[in-house]
Amino acid sequence: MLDSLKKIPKTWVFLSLIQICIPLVTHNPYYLKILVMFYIYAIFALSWDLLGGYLGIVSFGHALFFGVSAYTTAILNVRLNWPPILNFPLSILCALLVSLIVAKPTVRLKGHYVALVTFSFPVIVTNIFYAFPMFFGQDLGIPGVGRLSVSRTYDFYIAFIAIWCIYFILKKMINSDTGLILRAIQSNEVAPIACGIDIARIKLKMFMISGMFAGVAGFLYAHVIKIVAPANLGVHMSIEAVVMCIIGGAGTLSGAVFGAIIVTIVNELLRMIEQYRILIFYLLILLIVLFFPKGLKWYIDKMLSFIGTDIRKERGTP
Amino acid sequence: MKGNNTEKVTLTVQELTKHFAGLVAIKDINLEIEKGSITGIIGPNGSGKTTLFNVITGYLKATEGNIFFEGENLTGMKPHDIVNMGIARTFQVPQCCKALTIRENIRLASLGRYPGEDIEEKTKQFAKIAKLGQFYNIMTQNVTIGHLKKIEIAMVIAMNPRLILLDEPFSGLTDLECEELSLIVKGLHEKATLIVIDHKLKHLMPIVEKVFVLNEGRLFFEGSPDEVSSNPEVQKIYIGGEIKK
Repeated sequence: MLDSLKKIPKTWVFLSLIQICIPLVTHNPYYLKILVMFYIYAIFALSWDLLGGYLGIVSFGHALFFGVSAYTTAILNVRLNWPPILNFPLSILCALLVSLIVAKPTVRLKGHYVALVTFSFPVIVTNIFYAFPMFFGQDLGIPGVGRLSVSRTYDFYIAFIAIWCIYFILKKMINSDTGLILRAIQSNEVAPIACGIDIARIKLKMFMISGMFAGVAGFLYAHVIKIVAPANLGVHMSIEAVVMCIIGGAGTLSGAVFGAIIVTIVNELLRMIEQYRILIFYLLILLIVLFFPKGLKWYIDKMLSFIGTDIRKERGTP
Repeated sequence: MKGNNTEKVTLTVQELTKHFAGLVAIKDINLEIEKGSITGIIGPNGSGKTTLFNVITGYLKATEGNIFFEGENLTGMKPHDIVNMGIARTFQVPQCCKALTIRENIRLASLGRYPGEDIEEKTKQFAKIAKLGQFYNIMTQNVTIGHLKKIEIAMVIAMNPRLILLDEPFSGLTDLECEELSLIVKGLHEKATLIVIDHKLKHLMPIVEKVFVLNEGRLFFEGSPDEVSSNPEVQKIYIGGEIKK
């Protein structure tokens, strides 16, 4: 563990230190909230990237894990008055269970069937939520969820620690033999099977890890935004995870984080012209996919290649 | 029921049949592969050779019949479980991961098989045996078909199997490449039992001890390479003329 910490790149340490210092420079709750939202989106994007970017399982229902965790903590907090710290393990457990239920049939499917099945689950769950309005609150969802902590500064540090830990865990995993297996599965499933690897089991595990991390994002989201609604597990939310990874560059952890920065900024800027928000958002995606198909981070890396950034290192080589 | 004579026999195939809807791909195949032998399987296109491999290795489910490996019934087992029992194979169209380097492909096959040993050193060693040492860090998508065949063989070596099934290892290769590969294949034989499917009899016959001939999904003939080569019926169904050794 100590060796791993010693191997952390200096740019990482530098960027982390800058972020740690932000609340010392500004206490403006608006800026801090944007940063917290960026961390939440980044965690969500990273969780999708593990499946979509590294395994090639393009999930169009990833918001389900995010939403289930958000609803769990909201229900426990609002209906039972439980504090966030107690809700956290239960929220993650629910996200894990739901990811297991989704993963079971999905890991044996390929291509558009995966997209269809992952898309169907949140639709089913949303309808179940609508069937019990007294409990899940219909369109308005559950308002009045308690704050994550006593101040926005603490929220910021909690979210910062969460993303740092998740990025570190994923980075370790991707750079290990597990990462090699994931890339092998994405490249050609027959090869790892022929090597004696149970790829269905690997996919199931990754689905659960991914669902768990999406659950962490959902938990933080519920306590930062202080309301959960069916939209949190809807298609648009799932598409945002896909978009963040595609914009940044799927299959690279820093690409997912980079995509989250772009989406958070674009979302905030477009708030000024709310009526055109969705239109401009999707037009932007279209332009990026057409003109930067490898993700913006890849092109920036290319431009900055003289400082030695290597996209292959990012994808992990044990 | 267990396969007979497990001390001498590595693989026993009993009454193996595979149907694809109404099409009979293989029918009532019976064969026994002796431990430590190199066996050839030949036959015209569509005679069921690759289907036989696919059923033995679990990629296809047998319609009827049983397969025993060292006395254990493999029928219905999943492909990765069969590999972990000690059977490795190559494919007609090489199945390497093109997004990985040669080193990573070989490492993938070595995973979990050499606890306590330096897996990187092992990987290098396997690449050298398959004459891939100088291409070690090259991306697999940039190599020739000859190299792809060698990568698959290096991966098979890395799995340390007791039975190896090679599906058309010589196809698509030049004579020179075939000769080089023949030497590598002979090297494999030192550690494992081999079954080789190929159409290039010029390269196959000198390395095998026994040959099974399949025709229209059935076992048509079995014998030594000399017996097979000189059998007029085999010559007729196989190439419509004399087989050149």
